[in-house]
Amino acid sequence: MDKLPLDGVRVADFTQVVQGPYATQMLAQMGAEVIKIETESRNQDEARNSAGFARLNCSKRSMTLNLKDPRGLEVAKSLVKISDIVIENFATGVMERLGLGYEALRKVKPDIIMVSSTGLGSTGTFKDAIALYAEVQNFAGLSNLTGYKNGRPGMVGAMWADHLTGMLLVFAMVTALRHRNSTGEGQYIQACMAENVIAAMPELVLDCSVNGRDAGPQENGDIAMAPHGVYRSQGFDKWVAIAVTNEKEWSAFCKATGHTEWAKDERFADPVSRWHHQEELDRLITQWTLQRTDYEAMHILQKVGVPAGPILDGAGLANDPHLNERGCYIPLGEMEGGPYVHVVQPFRLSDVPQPFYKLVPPIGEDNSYVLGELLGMSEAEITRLAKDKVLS
Amino acid sequence: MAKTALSELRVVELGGFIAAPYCAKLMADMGAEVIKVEESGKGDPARRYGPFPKDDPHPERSLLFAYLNTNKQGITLDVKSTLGKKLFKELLRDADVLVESNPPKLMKRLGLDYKSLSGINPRLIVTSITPFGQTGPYRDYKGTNLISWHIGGIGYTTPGEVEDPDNHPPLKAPGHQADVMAGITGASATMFALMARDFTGRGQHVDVSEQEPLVTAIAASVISYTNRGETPTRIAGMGRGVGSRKPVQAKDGYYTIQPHRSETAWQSTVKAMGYPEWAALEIFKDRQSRRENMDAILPLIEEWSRDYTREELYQILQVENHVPCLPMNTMEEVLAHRHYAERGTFVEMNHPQIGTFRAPGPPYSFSATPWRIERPAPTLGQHNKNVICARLGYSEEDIRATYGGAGGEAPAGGLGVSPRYSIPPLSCRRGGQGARYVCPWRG
Repeated sequence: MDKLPLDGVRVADFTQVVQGPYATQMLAQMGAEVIKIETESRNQDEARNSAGFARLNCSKRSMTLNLKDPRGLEVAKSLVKISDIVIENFATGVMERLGLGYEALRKVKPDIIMVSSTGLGSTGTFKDAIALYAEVQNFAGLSNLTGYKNGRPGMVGAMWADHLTGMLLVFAMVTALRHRNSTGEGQYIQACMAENVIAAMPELVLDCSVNGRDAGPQENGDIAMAPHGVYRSQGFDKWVAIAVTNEKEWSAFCKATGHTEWAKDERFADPVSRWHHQEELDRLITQWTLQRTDYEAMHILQKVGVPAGPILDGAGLANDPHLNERGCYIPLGEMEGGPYVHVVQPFRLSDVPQPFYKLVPPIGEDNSYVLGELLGMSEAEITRLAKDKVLS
Repeated sequence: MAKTALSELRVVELGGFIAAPYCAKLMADMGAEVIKVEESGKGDPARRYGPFPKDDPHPERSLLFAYLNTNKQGITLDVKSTLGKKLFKELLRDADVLVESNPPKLMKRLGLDYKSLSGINPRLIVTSITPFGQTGPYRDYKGTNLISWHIGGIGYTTPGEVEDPDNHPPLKAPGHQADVMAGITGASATMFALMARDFTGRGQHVDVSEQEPLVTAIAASVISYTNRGETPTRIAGMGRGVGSRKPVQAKDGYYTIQPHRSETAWQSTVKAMGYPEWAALEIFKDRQSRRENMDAILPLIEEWSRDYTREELYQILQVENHVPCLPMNTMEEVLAHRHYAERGTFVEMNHPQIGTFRAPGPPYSFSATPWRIERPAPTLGQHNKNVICARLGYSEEDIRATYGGAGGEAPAGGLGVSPRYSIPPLSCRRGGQGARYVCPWRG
């Protein structure tokens, strides 16, 4: 198709850090015009010029606006008036205090879709708590289920709560957009990272709410499968993950590893017995995996239909042939004196061969475009706003 | 009936366990009509997977299944049989979306690949969620949540930096969060395909590899390597780390704190502790030295914080001094917490075979078209008659005449009106009572 799915959709993006920018980047790559509203004080932060910032803010436009200045607020409202979606992840109450709360914005644009997302939500005792992904994961009970048995709790990596929430917000926003397109009705969406984390582990919540069981650290185990874990392979800190899900796979596993005697061993004869003897089994399997590289082990096992795969770090992911062949990475120029390779959106649409990818813009690059072309201000007006530090 | 955002959407689901059902659940909860297709006699693997109330396995009492399939209708069809396939295709004729998670090779062999289905209904969007996606060298490889999580790269960074790598392997997230994330990603991507259809009038194939939402989430590590040739390591002291949030002990549990994040964070933390002497030590003089000496700082903070409960620490650190600090709650504490109670984080679900149970509620609130619970998860084949007769226009006589069997029952491989479980569920937790069962969760 010539158009992108969100062609003609405009997003006023007040978000920062990870969850919001991650969500709006997906919209931008799918064709929405995402206008990221920034303040110049952040430009001094070296973080903005980093590849880490770029990976969340490619394909967007950037404008600077001083929201503490009344004229800055007026510009913000004018922008909302010509936008479809407004999204923010300030602390609870900040937008209202600025005069940019949902009630104020729907007066400006009655069918606006507004999204507010915070760590712990906008109601409840802890609504004002500063909660980034780590605090959120702690408070949602995730950290207590992570870590090693008999050890202290641990942290699920990759700022997980942010990405989980970001992807959910994408679904929420496009859902609201479809509703608006068919009914003309906008709405206010509020999300809470901690609740997203809770909803992403329903079986653990339910086991506790119904059976009273607090499962404790999960490590790599499963409640029904064995073998099910990660095993050391050849090389320093290299590992292969293996999961045997049924009896057919179990006998294929024993054959492929050359250990048909395991299949006959009564400790490992059926799934329940195997599950109860998984520690002994894991020791035996490690003797086999240690003789092979992680990738060798994967290929040997996958060839006979046993789920297995290497544990990949940053370099492993960058070099993985499968991810490369699927087009997960595209070069977009340079950042910080090195090549900048963008990790694309995690889905492919057969009718959208070329999503919109553009290197992150310098801060304020689109000020003239937004104020002049979109809002119809004269050059003199724009210059005055700039001079009066309204655009900083 | 509450107004919903996706009430016009007709979704068919052909894929079990977590990823595809989670994807369709997100749509069902917002009002889409979801018809879940299960295999006669077997049903969704999640029916055989716990937790079960009192650990007593029963295919109609899987809490995981009940949660993931609320708001859906369920029918049984064996799409491998001529008959089942025929009905399945008829079902897709006026559907908007098919969500499926079957091996690409199998769908092709059954003649249910995107190209064939698009021939039946050009407006159909087919969302395929598989371990490695539809293309690339591993496309026919098998996966599970464990494999996806680790080959997706986040396992390497979980639970944070370690001292003894041989004995402290990379970990998966609790539960099945790679599956869940793939489901959410599939739902988001499907919405984009629906928006595209408004322009073009045609559907398309949505390809989600379970590995990729994890790779996108850990993109910072990938970029660190491609940009600077530097891979963050999980081994403490070996270079730039993957990041660590070491738990610190309070009187009644753990919390985390990051006094090295900024000068303000440090000053506020020191103030909250009442200016201890050690804070003035040379090795903690600036941000750089604090970062390098975090291992010395945390035990000193812990010495102080052991005398306070986590709630007291939240007061002293966060409320009074703006230092981010929240308790690490256990699941029991989460379920009982006043913050979540005030917010209505958990809802009561009713299920005819389970009774009432508390489950996670809406992950977001919509002011005009709220998330709602309309019906409990279907029992196996519960809506066969509704869907096959009312929707596809067959009479009950047709069913009996065509598919045989008394009282509307059908032979295996055809249409099952009442369930016959050939594979009972399994619970390893019941001390081996499940020993006679063959299949933990997959056919």
